[in-house]
Amino acid sequence: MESYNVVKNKGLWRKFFNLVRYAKVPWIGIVLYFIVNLSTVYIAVRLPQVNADIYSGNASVENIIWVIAVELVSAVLVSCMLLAYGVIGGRIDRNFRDAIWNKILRLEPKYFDQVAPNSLLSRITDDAESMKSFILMIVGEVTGVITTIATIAAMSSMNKGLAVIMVIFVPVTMIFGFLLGRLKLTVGNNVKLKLSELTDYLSGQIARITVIKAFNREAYETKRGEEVIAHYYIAERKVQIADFIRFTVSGAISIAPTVALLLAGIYMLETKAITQAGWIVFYVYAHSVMYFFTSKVDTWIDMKEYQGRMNRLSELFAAPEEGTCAYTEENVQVGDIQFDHVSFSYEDHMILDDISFTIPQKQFTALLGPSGTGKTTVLKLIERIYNVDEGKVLLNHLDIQDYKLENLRKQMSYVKQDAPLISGSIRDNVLYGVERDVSDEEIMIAAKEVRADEFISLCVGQLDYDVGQFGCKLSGGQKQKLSILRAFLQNREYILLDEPTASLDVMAANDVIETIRSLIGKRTVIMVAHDNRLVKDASHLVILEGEGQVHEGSYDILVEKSEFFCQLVSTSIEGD
Amino acid sequence: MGKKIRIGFGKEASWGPLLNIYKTVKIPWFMLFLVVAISFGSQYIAVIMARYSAKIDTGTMAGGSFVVGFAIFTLISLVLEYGYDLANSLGRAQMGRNVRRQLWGRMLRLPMGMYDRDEPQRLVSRVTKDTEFAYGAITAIVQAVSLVFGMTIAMIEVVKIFGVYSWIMAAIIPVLIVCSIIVGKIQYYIDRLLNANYSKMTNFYSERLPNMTYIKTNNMEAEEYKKGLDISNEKYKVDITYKAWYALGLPIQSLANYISLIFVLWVSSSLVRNGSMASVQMKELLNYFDIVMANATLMLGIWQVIKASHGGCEKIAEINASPIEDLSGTTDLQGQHDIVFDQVSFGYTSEKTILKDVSFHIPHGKTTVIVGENGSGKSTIIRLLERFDSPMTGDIRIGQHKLNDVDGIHWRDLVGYVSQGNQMVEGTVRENIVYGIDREYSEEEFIQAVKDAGAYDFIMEKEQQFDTPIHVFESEFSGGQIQRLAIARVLMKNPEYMIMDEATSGIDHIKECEIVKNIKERMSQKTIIAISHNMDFVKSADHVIVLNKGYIEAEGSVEDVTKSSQMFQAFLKTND
Repeated sequence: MESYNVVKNKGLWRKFFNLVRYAKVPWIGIVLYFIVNLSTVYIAVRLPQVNADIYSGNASVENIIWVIAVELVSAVLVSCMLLAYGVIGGRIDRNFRDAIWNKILRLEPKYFDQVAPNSLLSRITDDAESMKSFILMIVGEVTGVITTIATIAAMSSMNKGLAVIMVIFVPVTMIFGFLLGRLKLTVGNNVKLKLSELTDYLSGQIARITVIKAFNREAYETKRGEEVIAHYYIAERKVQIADFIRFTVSGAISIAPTVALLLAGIYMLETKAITQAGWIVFYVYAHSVMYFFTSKVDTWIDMKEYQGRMNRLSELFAAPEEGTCAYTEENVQVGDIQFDHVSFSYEDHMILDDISFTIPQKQFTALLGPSGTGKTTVLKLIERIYNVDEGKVLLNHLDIQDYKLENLRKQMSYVKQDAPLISGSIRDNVLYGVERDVSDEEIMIAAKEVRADEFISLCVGQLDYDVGQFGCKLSGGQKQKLSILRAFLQNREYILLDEPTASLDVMAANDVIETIRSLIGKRTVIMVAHDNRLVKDASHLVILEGEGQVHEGSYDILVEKSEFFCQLVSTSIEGD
Repeated sequence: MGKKIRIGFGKEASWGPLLNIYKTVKIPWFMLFLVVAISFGSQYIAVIMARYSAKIDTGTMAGGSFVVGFAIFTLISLVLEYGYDLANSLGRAQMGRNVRRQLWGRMLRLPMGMYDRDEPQRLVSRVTKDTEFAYGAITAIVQAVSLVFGMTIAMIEVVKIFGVYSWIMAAIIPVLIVCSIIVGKIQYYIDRLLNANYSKMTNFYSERLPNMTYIKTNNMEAEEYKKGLDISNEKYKVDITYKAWYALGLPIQSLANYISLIFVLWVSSSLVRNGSMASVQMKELLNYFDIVMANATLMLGIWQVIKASHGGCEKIAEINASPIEDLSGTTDLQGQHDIVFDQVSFGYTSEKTILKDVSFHIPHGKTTVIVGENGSGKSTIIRLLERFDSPMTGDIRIGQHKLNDVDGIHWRDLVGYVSQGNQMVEGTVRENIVYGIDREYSEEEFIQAVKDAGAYDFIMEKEQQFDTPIHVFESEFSGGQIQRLAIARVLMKNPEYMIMDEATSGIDHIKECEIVKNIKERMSQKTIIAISHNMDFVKSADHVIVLNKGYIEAEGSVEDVTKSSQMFQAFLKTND
């Protein structure tokens, strides 16, 4: 869940300058945009003067044409600036998005255990846009400052007395504005929090509708739902009331300088201390200057928002990347894999404690043991998804840390319990990570070998068949077969299988087991097994008993040596 | 960007269901009344303010009473403006809350078929987002009336000053309408383009972010980065296209406005020049004219708001109008009964039946196992037993009674259901385990159920133990642990009939045997119906039903079906 607290830590600018390097900002475009922006300064200063001339009696054709021309030019200018904003902003968005995506691809795998994918998605889609908004906001603010300076300069040359009145009131209205703005931030964040609670609750419960119905909990959930809905409503109501107070109070406060100006103006007009035209210009100027200062509250609120987003992005960019440390071996020579006194903890939880065993080359090794003893962790350590805390993992007698990460992984195919697929054809998916050109014939021959040919030939379009988002158009067994087919086509020495049949029903599991059997003798297969069906096929068994206990060897030896194994092969439900 | 706004395209949906929402949901009448009162008031004040500001803007104001009047009316207009926002947004929030309550209550009680047809998660955004649309149509109508009122009183003032020329201005109305239609169409197409592209980009990232280790273990970082660049660049192009069309649409939208402004400026200034109009009147005229044009533009947008409201509410209206699950029945069951399927057929469409004229019986007080391939109809039998679906033909009988005659709520109280998948709801561990029981329970009883389900140890390892929160989409428990929590829940429920659908598939073998043993002890003399591929479980069953492609292949004791069913023989063989 995102944190919606008011961002307290400072350093927006430092973070901005750190991040802006990644965004490849089109500076020339921004300078041009800024120059076009500056032309509005001239209009802002000149237009009130012409208007004053008109309304103080000189409604000449010339003046009227000038005003009409300014109206039309402004319209064209606004459109141009919108387009420029679109192009420049779009470019910054794109470049920054790409930089974030690049960074995410380089992160250490364990980062993804800690951060939910949805939250990373909002880094790329929403937070990425804060860079554009921030840069273009600065351009807008600089233009605003220049306009205000030009306006104040024009004003002070006109009437000192009126200018003083304004100077007194500006700080007062601003202070109130900021105090009220704080209120808005606090209650506003609460709404986001309550909305995300509401969404979490609803989407969670609706995904479990069968449970709710099976347990007759409809009335109970209706009541719980009403509470969450009410919480959100109350948070919304607070914001609305706060907004009302904020706007009316700051509006009412800003009446004071206007009234003061009016009183002084009326007096000066009567005493001829100011001309009619002079008053008209001054009043318009005064309003634009006051508006500039009071609108800084909204600028400040926006800045807080960008600050939050940039904080999150800074954290992302500060996270360590993998494969950055030095290596001594460019190429990997295949051989036995050995765990040499390996210890590994995950979030203060000791998983492997001084473990040693060997995985012989070209054999079928099964990893067994009670749950929680680190079987999957072993595979992840071999793949260097995690790194050992102590001890070494050796491949062909060399520490795997000494190999170039990329080349190490090129020797391994990893098949997970829930085989992931990505939208695209069957061909795209089975050739994922395959670097050579592979003909359709070769794919089908390989498919036959791993017993995946039958269902592929039944798919409409065969290898062109679209698997759907996350491979949703295929069954679990079919996805798993494609994963193994990919591993086969990748033609890598080590095939790592993590409970490949766990999520399958019995018939699909039987099929996949046949597929796995077809690999024996051809590759080094390392499998985490959760049932004992494939155990008999394994030529080497490693049993992680927990608490640092390991046994390894053949089936017959282990029945003698390992109590767990003995129990495993003899347990049945009727065992009592 | 949120939801796309539909502007007069596509199939027209009927207005009846929309109106039905207003009949079933409490409308915030008080807020609505406030909105009406305030919007009329502020239109009136706007006309008065136009007079004041004309005097100020031309330097023709004089006297203390002018300043007092100005201050009072400014204050009133401030309060009205923000009061309108407050009343409007409070009304919207109240309406949103009321619609959400109504909808959530209904969504929990829809027949199960509805959830399968509509992706449940999309129903959630109906509750969180679409509910806002329901209020749009009501306020739009109120707003339209007040806009007409404001236009009328402003127009009266215009006629007073401008006389016959006012009517020439009316010629601009067709231009205004044509321009609005053109801009509306442009907006429709670019919104659609933007939304389509946005979801394309989001899909790309959201499919990859949960699969980062998969990308890494396949060495696909560089390729995925390149693909990301393409997707990102496409988004950039669409962003620019959007902005370009938007920038073009802006002057078109204001075309009528500019034409009439030039006309008013030109004519009124010439009247000022020949002395038949005062400068202050010219300014007043321009202010009234602004009101008329602004209201006219808003008026043309009203229809779009109503259409959007209608389109946005379509799905809500449909849910609101669809029938709720009918679980009524006349019979209350007591104790144990045989369950009989008598020539039952079922399918989601009449062409494709899943169960074909199936007859079998489930003896009470015994363990029955259903065996069959994926898609053979096992899970359908369970859905029928839970009354999630009803047979197309044939009867299901519990003892002497037809299942449909039994009170559904009462029946679901008698049945305990555990499936393979994650069945946890939002809430703590404890809330999840006691989910579904209304009676008081002792702590000993609770702990015993948790221990029997093999869940005690891993719960106690958590810092918050039984108070550990469970989130449906971000579970910190593994698949096997969640299955054990679900078993603990059913043990607490202590049902007469227990349904287990691959309920132990993620639990390691030794633990599984222990848990199954505990379940059998607790459920002795009661009925267990299980789908399982665990050989030991199947062999220990009292009664076996073999399903093959929607037909019953065999039924009877393990010995019976071993003799009579080829499929069961194959099943035994592959699992040995």
